[in-house]
Amino acid sequence: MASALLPIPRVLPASQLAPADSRYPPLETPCGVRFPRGRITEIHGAASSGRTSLLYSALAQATAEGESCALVDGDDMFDPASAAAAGVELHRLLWVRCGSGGGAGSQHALRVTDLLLQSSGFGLVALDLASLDARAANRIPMSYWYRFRRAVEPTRTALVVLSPMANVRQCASLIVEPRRVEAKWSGTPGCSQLLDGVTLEFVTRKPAAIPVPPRYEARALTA
Amino acid sequence: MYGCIHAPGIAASGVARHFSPRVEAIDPSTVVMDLTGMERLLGSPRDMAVAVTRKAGPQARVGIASNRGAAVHAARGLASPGGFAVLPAGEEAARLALLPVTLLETSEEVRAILAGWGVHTFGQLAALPEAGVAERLGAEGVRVQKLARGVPGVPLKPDVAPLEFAERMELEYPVELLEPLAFILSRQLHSQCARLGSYGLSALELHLELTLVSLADPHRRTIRLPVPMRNALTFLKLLQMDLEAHPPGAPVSAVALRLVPAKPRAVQEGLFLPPTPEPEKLELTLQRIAALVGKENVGSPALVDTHRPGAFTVRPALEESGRAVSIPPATLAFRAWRPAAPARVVVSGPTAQPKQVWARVRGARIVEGRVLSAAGPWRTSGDWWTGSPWARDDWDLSLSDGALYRVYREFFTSAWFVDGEYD
Repeated sequence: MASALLPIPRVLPASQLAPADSRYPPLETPCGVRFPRGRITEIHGAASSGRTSLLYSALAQATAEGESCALVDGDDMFDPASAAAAGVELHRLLWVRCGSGGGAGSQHALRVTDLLLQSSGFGLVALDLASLDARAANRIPMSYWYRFRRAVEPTRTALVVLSPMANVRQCASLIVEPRRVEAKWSGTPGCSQLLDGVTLEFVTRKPAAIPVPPRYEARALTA
Repeated sequence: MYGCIHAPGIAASGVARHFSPRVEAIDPSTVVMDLTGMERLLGSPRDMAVAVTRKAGPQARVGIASNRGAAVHAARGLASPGGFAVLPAGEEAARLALLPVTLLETSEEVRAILAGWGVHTFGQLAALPEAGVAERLGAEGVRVQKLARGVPGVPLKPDVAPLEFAERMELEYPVELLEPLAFILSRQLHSQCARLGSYGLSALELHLELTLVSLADPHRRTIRLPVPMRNALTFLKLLQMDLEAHPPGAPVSAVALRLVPAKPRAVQEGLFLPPTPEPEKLELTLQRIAALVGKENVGSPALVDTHRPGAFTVRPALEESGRAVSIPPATLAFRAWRPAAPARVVVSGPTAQPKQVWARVRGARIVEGRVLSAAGPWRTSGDWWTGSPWARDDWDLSLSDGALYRVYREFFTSAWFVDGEYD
């Protein structure tokens, strides 16, 4: 009798779990990574691996095309000067600071992202959780990513998630792991050395690894 | 057809508005109204005059004529108190001919010239050659001669009452909860938005005043919108969220709502421009986000005209999308730690180059490592002309933990901080 009151388990077909290509053309970035619209892209990696540079590149491209973008800053680490130098049109960027990190900050960030996706009309929504530690990242319920995937699917919004480790998993259509190949220094060590920039490499984990991942030369602001 | 009522205090009484919405108050004791099209309702010009005289009272003088000027002079010069004068079309000049020119509204100088010419009545002024009057008295002479002849001159300029979109409701019982209050607000908002729509206007500000039972000062809330809107449901949601964040301190006994009207937002959407968030929807979303993370944490970032590292400001909302712009060469992104993490740094050499760094970021993450490469120091300073000068030496460091950091030493305190990391 009690089982009759329970909802019938719903089994999604494979086609729904792995949605077909978006109807909108992807967001082409100068660094060679194409961010699919109506899908989730996850960028994960270690500190100083180039995650934020890749995100700023996408934001710069989207805002340069006249789109409104949103950045949900889970740990209040967005640097407007650095973003402006990367070409992000700041007046087309909505920046939401969700506190000083930790559990409350990430919870707020997830709820804010949900609200922004429901609002629609944004070209790119970025959720920056890159500063979360592994324990806090693991505590994010998987249901959030399913919810975000459903919310973003009918729109032309590209949802980009920055995380310290692979977190979105099967809900992401594109997973990129940036790597810092080398840091370029000029001058004489110990007296007049200068950080010129870094060479970044973007390894695609999903859908499939490209044999030769795109490389990206990013110069330092002080160079 | 125009009517004029001349009586003390008639302009303030509002009698003329019973007959026509187009009313001009010439002075406190004279009003002119446009009666065009009122024949089917009031009858002939004489019937109109009778109706107006009855309504205006025993002291009123009423004039009916085919133009504004003739009606005014008929009321002022021909009608007796409690009576009326009707000037049939085409007979204005003949009926006004005996009126003195002192009735004409003109300057003392013109009146003196007319007196000097021996012109004392409307008829004498009307008989003068038009070209000669224009030559000697200019445009003012032509105007007063037209008035004397009873021909159309200055058109009626109806007084437009200032538009008020306000509603006040006294409640039978005090309301303690926000939910029943929302029903009252909804009703007021829908009626006011319908009124705004009938005038082709939108609202840019919402002013809510709640009279409280036990408090003398009312609870006032103001919501300023980024763009003019006219959506009652959006307004209701905004007010609800605002009242949830700032609830009244006592039961509400009266609700007064006022909408500040503005011209609707007219935007020509480009066929090839990317879509942007709808303003109404975006405003609601921003309010919800502000309720979650605080109003000061939502907005568009903007740079500040200073050399102080990390300086920025937050502006209220997104701007409209515009034309595409070019992207500069790629730069290495920086992630700022707010506030900068105090660090213990081991230095060596004449330039005090960092060799070892240890810092705890917000009490959780620990940055610890040997310096593999270092660039610096880069001295920056500013605000020395104010009471809070700053100066610091910046270093770009590659640590053995694999990350690139920006570290600085404050010049005045010699304290070390980790400013953030390159990513």
